[in-house]
Amino acid sequence: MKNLSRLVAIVLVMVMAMSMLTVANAEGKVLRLTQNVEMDTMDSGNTGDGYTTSIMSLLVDSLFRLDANGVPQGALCESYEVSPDGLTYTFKLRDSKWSNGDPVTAHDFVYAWKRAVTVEYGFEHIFLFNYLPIKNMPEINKGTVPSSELGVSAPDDKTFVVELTAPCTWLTSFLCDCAFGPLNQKFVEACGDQYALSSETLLTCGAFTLDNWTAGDLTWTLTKNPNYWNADKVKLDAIEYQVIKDTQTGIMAFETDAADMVILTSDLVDMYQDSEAFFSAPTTYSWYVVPNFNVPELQNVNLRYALGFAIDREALVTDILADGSRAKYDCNYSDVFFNAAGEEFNSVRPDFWSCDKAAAAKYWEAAKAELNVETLTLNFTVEDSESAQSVAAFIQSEIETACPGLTINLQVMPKAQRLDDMETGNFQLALHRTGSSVPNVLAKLGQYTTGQALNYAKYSNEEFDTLYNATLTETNAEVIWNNCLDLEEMAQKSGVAIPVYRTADCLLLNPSITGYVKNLIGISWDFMFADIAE
Amino acid sequence: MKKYVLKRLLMAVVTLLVVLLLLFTLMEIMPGSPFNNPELTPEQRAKIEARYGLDQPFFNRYINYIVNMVQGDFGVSYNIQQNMPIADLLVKRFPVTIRIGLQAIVIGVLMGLVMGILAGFNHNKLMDSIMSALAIIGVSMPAFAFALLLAYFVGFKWQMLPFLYSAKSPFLSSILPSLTLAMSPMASVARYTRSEIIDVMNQNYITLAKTKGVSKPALTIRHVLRNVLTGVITVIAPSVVNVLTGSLVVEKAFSVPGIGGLLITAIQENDYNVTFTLAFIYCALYILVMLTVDILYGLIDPRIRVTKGE
Repeated sequence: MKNLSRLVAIVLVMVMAMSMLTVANAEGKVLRLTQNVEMDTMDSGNTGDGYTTSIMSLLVDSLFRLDANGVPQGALCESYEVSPDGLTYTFKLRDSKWSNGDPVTAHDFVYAWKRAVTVEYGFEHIFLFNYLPIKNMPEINKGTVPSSELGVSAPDDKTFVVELTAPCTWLTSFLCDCAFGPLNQKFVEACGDQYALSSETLLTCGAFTLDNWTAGDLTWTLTKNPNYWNADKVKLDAIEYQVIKDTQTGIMAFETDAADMVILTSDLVDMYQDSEAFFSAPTTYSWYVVPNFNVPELQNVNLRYALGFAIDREALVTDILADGSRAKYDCNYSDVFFNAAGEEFNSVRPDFWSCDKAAAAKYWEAAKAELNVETLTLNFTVEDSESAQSVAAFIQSEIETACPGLTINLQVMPKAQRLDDMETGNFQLALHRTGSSVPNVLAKLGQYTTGQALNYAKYSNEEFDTLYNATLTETNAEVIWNNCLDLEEMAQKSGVAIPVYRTADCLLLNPSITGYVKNLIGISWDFMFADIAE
Repeated sequence: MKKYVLKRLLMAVVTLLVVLLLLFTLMEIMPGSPFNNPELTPEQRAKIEARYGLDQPFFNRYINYIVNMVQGDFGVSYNIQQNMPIADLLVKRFPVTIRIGLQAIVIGVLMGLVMGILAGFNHNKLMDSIMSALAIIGVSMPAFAFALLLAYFVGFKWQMLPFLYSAKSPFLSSILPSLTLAMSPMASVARYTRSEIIDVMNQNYITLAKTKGVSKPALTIRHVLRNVLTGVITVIAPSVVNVLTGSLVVEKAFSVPGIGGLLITAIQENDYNVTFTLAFIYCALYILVMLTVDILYGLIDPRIRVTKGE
């Protein structure tokens, strides 16, 4: 018995000694954030993941940064001018330094942009540049012009010039994304393949620095950069990150005060939605049903109307999803396009789609007569995620109830297979998700033009194509706005897509955190000016 | 013995090549690409794929991969950790998995042996029932449930140990994941040890030893446990591979930066190099452990060497 007591005492002393080996955490005002995936890369030229983009924005300034009202404010850009024809933007840079002491210059922007569009480097994030009408970008994509000919230049260290082929009223909003930030050519080239794989091979010029990090870490800490040009307004001393992939574990971390923010999965929303810490905000991701216009029956507009009017989207988001998602009725999935009066595009426009079971039945009867059928079976391609399957089952039930004789046959498959089938046209109906990465509704409407890669429906309308192409080169903002309204109406009335719902982010966020900005595109979470109330 | 080991090693190399070929074929058949952003133009996607050699014919890629692998180059990750050499990724993650796995093996085997011995020598008594019930719970309870129980009670409610792995305090923060992983080997060893002890205790040579007046400790150690331990090695072997390759559930529950969930993520993301490398390592580990077990088995039990002609 004596020996046993001695053994227990030794074990306890060892455990206490080991616990004392724990290294002290950052001190001062420290925000502790969690995320459910690792950072995929810290190369700003290739950062596509939402979490990583948010972290990168704290490490590397871009030209602009969106404020709490979604208005771009100068970051590295001190001032800028636009030529009268709207085709040349001249940005004047403020004094700022890289973490190795080098000044941030306009040449750093030129290098970063040309590097990002050099497709041979394999940066998947090059797609963001596809949306910008930068001089020579289409030719670079085709391979007829080298990336060194991209329409950007640096007449001097402080002046960065961007040449466009069409006016771009939303350019400054788009340039808030860190994909358009600077890179120090000398440093990047010296690091070679190792660039941005650890703190030692990463150069920053933002409000925070990243130390003792290597790619693949599940924890890391950003520390306030006292040399940052706007350091006076940065209130946090550090931000600690922890990757927690299991939501239950994340909630335990939140409740033991080890984390200030944790993402909730939809099944936990009901449990926490009355909590003071509950936070819910819509995303730009929307789900919709794509009808394949190459399927003879689906060329019938009454059939497409029957499908669209049968779905009670409000019941779906309230009773089935119940996670903050919102019913969706538009076909542009933008939600981030504003006019001069500050009105959001989708908030000023009447929707064609609604839930009207009687109308759905009427359209189905008309479709039956026109197709000369009494019954019809349509295959509905759905990916194998739990939420997609439950949404698809709901849609199936809604359609089959409202349209007797119309059978919806669910075909569940992995997402990669679904996308493959959609690209090759091997589907009849498909449940598809799309997001918005650009503050321009026209870019999203462009997916319905003939031959566009994202036009999975294979919809083709000459009138639509003509108006879209005219709008691309239009300079008058009001005309652009009105043309977009017409394009949206055309898309809806042709039933090119049947909108279903828009997703939401739900999380627990420490109520004492203030000053953060939640954006819909680009940097999804901006904690640059966040504070923690005492 | 040398000839036997050499033959087994040659078979291992052939097995590994066949496994890799199968994987290459399966990944070729699978839909999608590592670079499947629909917002890329077809030209951009083609050039990005060419950058990583994915435009090459099937057998060229297979041969290139084998040649590079022999030189220690497993390629880079396409999207899990973009452009990070796989070797660096594994060097970073494998030690954590190995550490937790070895801890789990030690805990599991020791606890399992103690439980099995207590149950075996107390056959049909209360202790036997308790130990057997614990072993059955260990076998039947899913790892995620045990992980959740430990994390909730030990980590969250009683705050005795951290429920999140931390590189700053790796010993303390690895106790709960190790305990969770230890449950399965513990239960297997306990059940096996118990049944073997009961079996051995009824053998004639034990009765003879007893009648010859061999002391109880000597009887237990020399005659019972030696025979039982020979078989325990075969029970432990598959568990060793299981715990050394990590556990998706345990690593997810305790935020362990290991390789447990990496293979599944790699398959889902079409990160070919990560998939091939991990599958290769899993397969190699399995073959290596089984070979080691066979050799150990021969060393412990001379009858096996004799039957194999050594």
